[in-house]
Amino acid sequence: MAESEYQLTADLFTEADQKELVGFSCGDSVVASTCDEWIKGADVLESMARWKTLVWLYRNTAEQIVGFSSVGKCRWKWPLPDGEHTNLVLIPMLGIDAQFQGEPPDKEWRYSHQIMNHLVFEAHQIADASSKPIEWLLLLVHPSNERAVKLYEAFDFEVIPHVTRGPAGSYVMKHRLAG
Amino acid sequence: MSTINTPDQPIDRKDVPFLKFLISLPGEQLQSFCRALQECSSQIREDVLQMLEIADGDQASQLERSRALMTIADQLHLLPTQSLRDNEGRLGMGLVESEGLAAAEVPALAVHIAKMDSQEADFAERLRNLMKTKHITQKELAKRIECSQPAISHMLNRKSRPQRKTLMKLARALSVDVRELWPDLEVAERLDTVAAFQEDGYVMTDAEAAALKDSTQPKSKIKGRALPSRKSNRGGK
Repeated sequence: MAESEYQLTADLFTEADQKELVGFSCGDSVVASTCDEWIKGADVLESMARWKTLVWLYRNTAEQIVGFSSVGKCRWKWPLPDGEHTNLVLIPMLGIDAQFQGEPPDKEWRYSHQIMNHLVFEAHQIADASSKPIEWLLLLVHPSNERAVKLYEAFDFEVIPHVTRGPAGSYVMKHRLAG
Repeated sequence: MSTINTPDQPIDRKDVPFLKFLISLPGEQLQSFCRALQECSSQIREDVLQMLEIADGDQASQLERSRALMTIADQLHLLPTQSLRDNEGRLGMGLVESEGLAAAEVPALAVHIAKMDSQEADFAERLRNLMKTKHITQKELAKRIECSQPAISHMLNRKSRPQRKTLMKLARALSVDVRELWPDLEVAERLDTVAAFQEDGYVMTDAEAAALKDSTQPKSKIKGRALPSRKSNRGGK
């Protein structure tokens, strides 16, 4: 792909980066506030410490923080009588600063697409490095966040039918990495 | 001749943090802690024991210990000045002190704690106004949500943080939407959902298991794309 002024960089997030996030805001909705709280507060640090979640910060060529994403591995248990574990890759949270949402107009360089492509790439890296096969990449999305649902569908995520998580009824979406 | 009764069973390993904690508390704090423990539900008691296990664990970081103690103080509505951990870091440090330590270790947590403090003040104000409007006394409210009157007083005087469950009970008792008491509750709930989503060992529901065994969804052809690092970009310049 040719170089572009819209090329994002991705760097692993550390606790020290939180001071750079003062002006970062995904918007005013509850969904956006949840993203902001996660990356600016203690949740991201807990996720990194407890579940070894990898978190990235994305910057544009002007060094502005455009967004963040996260990916991690976990094991869920099949219900009884099976009860065995299965390994999964999860995207706990991702967010784009409100001023960069839907930008740039050129879809090839759209920030959301660059970030999703990067996440899928990193999910494959995790799956390939795993000693046990990993078939699925999962994420949570609130049904009201239609733009996000469409974005994920464009990256081959499907909503798991009849499943919601939490009091807000978030959808779980799955993307088949292998199998 | 006097006899000494010995317990029928040896002390369980999981009881050790609890016993160490009790021994570490000075008299007045021991009384407050025991009283609060007696008044709380069995679920809260179980949570407190779990938190003590975390706080006493060899693997726990200072931040994890602080957060575990903060949770205990929250669960039991203890006054911020009531000590749970002493200056040397032994069990007995106060809520305010543990928050200060946590904030010093993680600057972002300072912002978070400051925000929580301001939310607490707003909450106390809202609760006070609602009780006034609805002509409900502390005693009556305590009866409706099945807690002690001092617990309500602590909330009104910003001496304890309300738990999510308590907020729900208060909202029901006052016939208001819970967001009238704590507008950011939805955000907190969603963050809890995200945290639960990452839990290792989560047992899938039948619907989730069926979806993950479904072979009709084709393997995606999207392999994604790596992005350059900012550091490597700088290095190239």
